Amino acid sequence: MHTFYTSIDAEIDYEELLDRVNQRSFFYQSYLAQDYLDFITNLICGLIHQHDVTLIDYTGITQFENSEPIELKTSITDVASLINQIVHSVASVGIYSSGSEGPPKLVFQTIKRLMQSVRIEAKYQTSTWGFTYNPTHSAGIQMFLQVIANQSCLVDLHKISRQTIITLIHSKSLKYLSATPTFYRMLAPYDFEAPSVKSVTLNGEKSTLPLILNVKKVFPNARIRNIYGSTEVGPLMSSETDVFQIPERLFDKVKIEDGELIFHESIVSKSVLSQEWYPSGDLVEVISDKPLLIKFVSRKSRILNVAGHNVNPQNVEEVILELPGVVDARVTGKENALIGNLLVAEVQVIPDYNISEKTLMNQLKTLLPAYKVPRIITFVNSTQIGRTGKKLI
Amino acid sequence: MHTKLLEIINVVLTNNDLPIIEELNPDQTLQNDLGMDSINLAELSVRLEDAYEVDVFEDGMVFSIGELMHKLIK
Repeated sequence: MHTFYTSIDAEIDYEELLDRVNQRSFFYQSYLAQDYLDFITNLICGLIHQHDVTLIDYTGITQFENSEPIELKTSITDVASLINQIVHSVASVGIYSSGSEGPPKLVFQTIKRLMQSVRIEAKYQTSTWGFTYNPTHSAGIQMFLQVIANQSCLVDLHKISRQTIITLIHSKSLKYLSATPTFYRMLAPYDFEAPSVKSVTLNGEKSTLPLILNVKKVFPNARIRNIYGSTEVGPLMSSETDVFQIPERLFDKVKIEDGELIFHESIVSKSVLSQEWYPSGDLVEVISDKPLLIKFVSRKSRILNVAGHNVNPQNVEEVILELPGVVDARVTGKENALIGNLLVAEVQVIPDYNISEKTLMNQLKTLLPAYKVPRIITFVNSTQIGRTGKKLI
Repeated sequence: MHTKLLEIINVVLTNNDLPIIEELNPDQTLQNDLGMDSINLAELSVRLEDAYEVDVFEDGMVFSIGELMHKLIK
């Protein structure tokens, strides 16, 4: 029987998953799970009995009052019926979006809508998918649906060390990998090759070209796809570089106003809609009009005023990421009465790499105008990452 | 307090390639005598806030080392 889920210390096949679902006598609309298998069993129980489920991040909190239990009786005879009932559920899942820019918003998505991005093909059966997202976020749920709809196998790479990730990619002959740019940056210094991987997706944050090139180096046989999307609109477009061509189907559904990408209501989740056009909060640069090519510049909310200059911290992060030894960087503004904001940076370097704050600052002074150089640089083991696997900004 | 303040001022001066000072002279001004610009002063205030939990520029400009010491003692 096909394996459904494998991690560094657990493995279950589809028959065992079916047994878990049939044995579960209670369902909680909102539930703090013990682990992924506990979480997914509760979710499946909700979906097959057509109950909406609010996804509670069991990887981030330890105390939570579960909703009242609902008694269930499940007797599904085979795996195919189980999968059929999951993917055709009319229930919705409540997903807390991002949280990388403030308090998370609860957005309800129907399974029908989430299934729109799932591809069901014979080639996906028995294939292995790297599971890197927070299971309770939209990308984590989409990954679950993608895997279950094809009876593929999830290889859990979420929140584990770089070396363990590399070991699992090799030992499980991982074929498909989808993750945030932050995840791929953790694979630095890119000194290994994973030839089994056939497809790599970068999702959820802006990817830079140097990162995409490093990903290509590590996964030489993979097709690289850089995805643009959000919890509100789902995955919207893809590219092999950091430049996106707006597809024809979106011509009348997206527009650019004052450099910001705006979505038409027809492609936005109903639970966040308040007007005909929904601002994405993403600033873009138009590379060409015909075809319409765009490049993502930054989140609009990230622009900071530093001594009278508008500074995009993402640009500064990109410059820091180009410096030798740097794995990751997070630049933020510290409010200041004198100059508005002072740029400060958290920088992660490769293990045993010796560099001082002063040296890094001097390197940056040769590459950036003075006001763009972070004035306080802290070296960290990892930059602060939010519950969705994205960098906190 | 004096040693720590001297140390923080010298970190800012070193980071910005300005000559360091040997001791705290209350009459010396941060801008004219020590050569700090507005960004250097902002860096100094953030480092001082981290160390002393006091925003020295909260109520207006601070010109001299003496004024700085007064704010930190308050």
